[in-house]
Amino acid sequence: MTLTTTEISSPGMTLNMGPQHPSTHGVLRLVVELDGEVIHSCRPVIGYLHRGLEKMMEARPYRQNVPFTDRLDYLASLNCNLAMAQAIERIGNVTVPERAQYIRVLLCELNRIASHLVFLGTFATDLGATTVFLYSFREREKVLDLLEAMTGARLTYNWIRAGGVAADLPEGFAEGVRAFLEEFRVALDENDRLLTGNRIFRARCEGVGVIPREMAIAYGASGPVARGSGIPYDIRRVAPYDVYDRMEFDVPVFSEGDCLARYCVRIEEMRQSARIILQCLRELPEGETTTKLPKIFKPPPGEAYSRTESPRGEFSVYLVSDGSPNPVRVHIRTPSFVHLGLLPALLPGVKVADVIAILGSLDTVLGEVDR
Amino acid sequence: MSIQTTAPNRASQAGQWAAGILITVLLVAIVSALPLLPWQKLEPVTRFFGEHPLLNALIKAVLVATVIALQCLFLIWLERKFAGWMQARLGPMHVGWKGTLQTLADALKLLTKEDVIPAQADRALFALAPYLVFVASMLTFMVLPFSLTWVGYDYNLGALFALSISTVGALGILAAGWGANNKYSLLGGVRAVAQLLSYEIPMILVVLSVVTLADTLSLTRIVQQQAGLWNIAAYPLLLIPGFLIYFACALAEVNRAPFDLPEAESELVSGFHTEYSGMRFAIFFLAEFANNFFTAGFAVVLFFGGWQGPILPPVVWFTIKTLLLIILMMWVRWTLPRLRIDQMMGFCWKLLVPLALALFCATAVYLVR
Amino acid sequence: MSEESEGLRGIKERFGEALLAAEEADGELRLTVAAGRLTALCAYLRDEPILAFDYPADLTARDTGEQLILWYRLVSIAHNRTALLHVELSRENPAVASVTSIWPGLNWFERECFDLFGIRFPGHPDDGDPARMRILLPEDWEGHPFRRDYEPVFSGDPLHGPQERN
Repeated sequence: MTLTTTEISSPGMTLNMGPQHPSTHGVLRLVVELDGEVIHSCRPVIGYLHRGLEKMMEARPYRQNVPFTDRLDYLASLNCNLAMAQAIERIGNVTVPERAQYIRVLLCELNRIASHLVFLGTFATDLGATTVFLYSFREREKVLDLLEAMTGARLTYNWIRAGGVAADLPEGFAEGVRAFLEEFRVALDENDRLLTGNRIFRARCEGVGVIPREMAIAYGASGPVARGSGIPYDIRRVAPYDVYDRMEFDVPVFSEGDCLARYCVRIEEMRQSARIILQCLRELPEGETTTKLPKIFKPPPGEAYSRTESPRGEFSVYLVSDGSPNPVRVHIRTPSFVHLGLLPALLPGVKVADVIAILGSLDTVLGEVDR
Repeated sequence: MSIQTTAPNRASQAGQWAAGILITVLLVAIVSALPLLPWQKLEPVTRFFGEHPLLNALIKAVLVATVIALQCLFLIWLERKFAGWMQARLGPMHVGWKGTLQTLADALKLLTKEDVIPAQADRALFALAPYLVFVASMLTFMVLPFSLTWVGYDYNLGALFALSISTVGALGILAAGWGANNKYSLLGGVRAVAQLLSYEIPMILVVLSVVTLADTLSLTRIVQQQAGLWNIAAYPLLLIPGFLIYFACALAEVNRAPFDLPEAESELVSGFHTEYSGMRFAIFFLAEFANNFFTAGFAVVLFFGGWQGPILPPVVWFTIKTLLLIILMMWVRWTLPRLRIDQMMGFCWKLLVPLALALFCATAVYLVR
Repeated sequence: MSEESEGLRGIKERFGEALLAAEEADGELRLTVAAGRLTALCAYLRDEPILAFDYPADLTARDTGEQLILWYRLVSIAHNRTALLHVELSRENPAVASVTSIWPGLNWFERECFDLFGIRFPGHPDDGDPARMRILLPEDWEGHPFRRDYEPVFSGDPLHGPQERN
């Protein structure tokens, strides 16, 4: 005997998730059509945080554009600084002193750890495990303390400038970083015991929001999202910048493409970041920390772009110069913008609770989506 | 310049624990001293109330409601402190000594807040729902024996009464979810009803097993039978799994993680009580903690010998055991992530119900063997 | 090097008349293509195994004052190589066929180009409905602010932005 099922269609319900919703991580609005608990279709609506940064940058000299980038991915603003600084250096053919390159890598990796810790905490909270949030933020606090000692700021650092970094490492920084990494290793292991192996956590993540390899490529996914789908695409490896070509680190790749794979990529990346930081501290050469740029910096006409690996993925800045002190066009390619574009293809058929899990696993920052 | 990263302060953590233990000891001491008071001098008063049963019932109801409200204040404080300690932070610290008066302050704040009813809400349902939930959880206390004498009404169908009246709460939650005319609330309400009704079944089956073993539905009689040996020790093969099933169901019945789907802060923006504010919200909160206390107390009655225990007065024993169970529930709550709706229903219908049924059959076989 | 030149030669053979400029520098393919042959070129770039530009990295536009220039950045994951495509469009009624059927990832980038520059993309799922094409700006926004001739409309109320309705 075979059982037959009858499709019962109902008019469904349109639910506006956001812009005020605790789990959209900012001001994202998802217009979802619901059939009971199941998502029929989803249309993300963005732009609530649109400040026209790209347009504002056109009205300012190149170097004054770096602080704007702090407001893009505010969880990893040093990485954004880096992308902008690099684009400026490319268009103006500026070389960066070696020591500055090391410091940049060091700072970016510290910031990557801080950013991934926010991911860890918010992702766990999205799934209902609130305690992990506080544990991961406790660790992040230590990174922020270090970065504050370095830059004086806790979120918008504006420390990586065109030509180098703003100043040298403060006294005692290396010891502070080493002490933190020692504690951090223990904390990561603790997290593995608390969350990664948890059966409920795995049940919520495994097989949820699967992005197949081909889909990830066709949609331009990058960073942990691409690496969670089996694509070994890490700008630090495929197009090394600064001193990443001298660093020894692994690019974690998981082929499952689900939320758990993306989570595991990020957890493993934190360990690799710790490795890179220790190498930087070990090999840090003496020397200048910045190349002096002329007072009025006029790059030759042309265009240039930078590619950097931010914690969220490929973060690149495209600059066009006409020989004047201001850029004529600035475009910022942000990974979160691309990853949010995956949602309409990813969500149909999943449950309401999975929306939160999938959105959390993409780890988007609305500041860089809306620009 | 030197850089200091924040490290956990062991000394202050020890202080936290000391404070917690001290407060517990103090409370136990106060409750223990209660029977030493000259109650017999109140004899004419009790006789007067004995002659006026309606007045008697009213006074008892007010007393029970007050006690529950106070106990909820304590439980909420305990929950916040406990969560704080688990999460490497202090919890409430500012109002009163170690934050003891924090919940009182919160309750006062909620009392003074505006009672907002959304324009599109179903006013009657919206206004009524919190009281429906509250009354249901209050009524369960009527039969819960704190000791042989400290029981609202020693009903000989106590277990049945408690189980059936606690189900009424689901109706209130559904009314809240529907009445608020908010889509999140509706989803939360629907989830709540599906969850509460599903988990009722294995819970009832386990309770039925205990009742069959005890051969009575009266909660006081069930406790009295455990004078020598607690049920869970008397029938370990049957009731240890029985207690585990009951505990899982109890977590679901009081909407606690990993089964807090109806409230699911991160998905449904706290679900069925999204739209509630002020006192109505406080009443939901109160009902939730009262429910929590009841499910834990019910488990103590069924499995852990109720008020039975040496030296300390029965009420104290009952409270200690219940509090330990509640702390266990808090521990689970602050450790585990939340299940998804289909996983939660699957856990109930595919695992708990068959297990509870098998348990009930095993109990029957054990009794007729 | 020979393999890359082979790829470029193949492109030149096929799209000779449509290629306005083609060069290879710093390991990048830099092509300027006529708007009419864009989709054909993109499909070729993606499907030809020695090119295999399967990854859409970026798309943006700029307004030079005389014309609008679209800038596509494509990456080949397998060969780890970049291709830059330029498409020049007239400022009056700019339109170019959508490549969302080849790289769905460029959907939102095309919407952004419409939003900020007013470039239409026939073939885009939301083409023809400005309210759905708008992405960063409000649905009812008028004009395209990144064009050189854009005049911001001030609502007169300093508390509200341009064009914001009370």
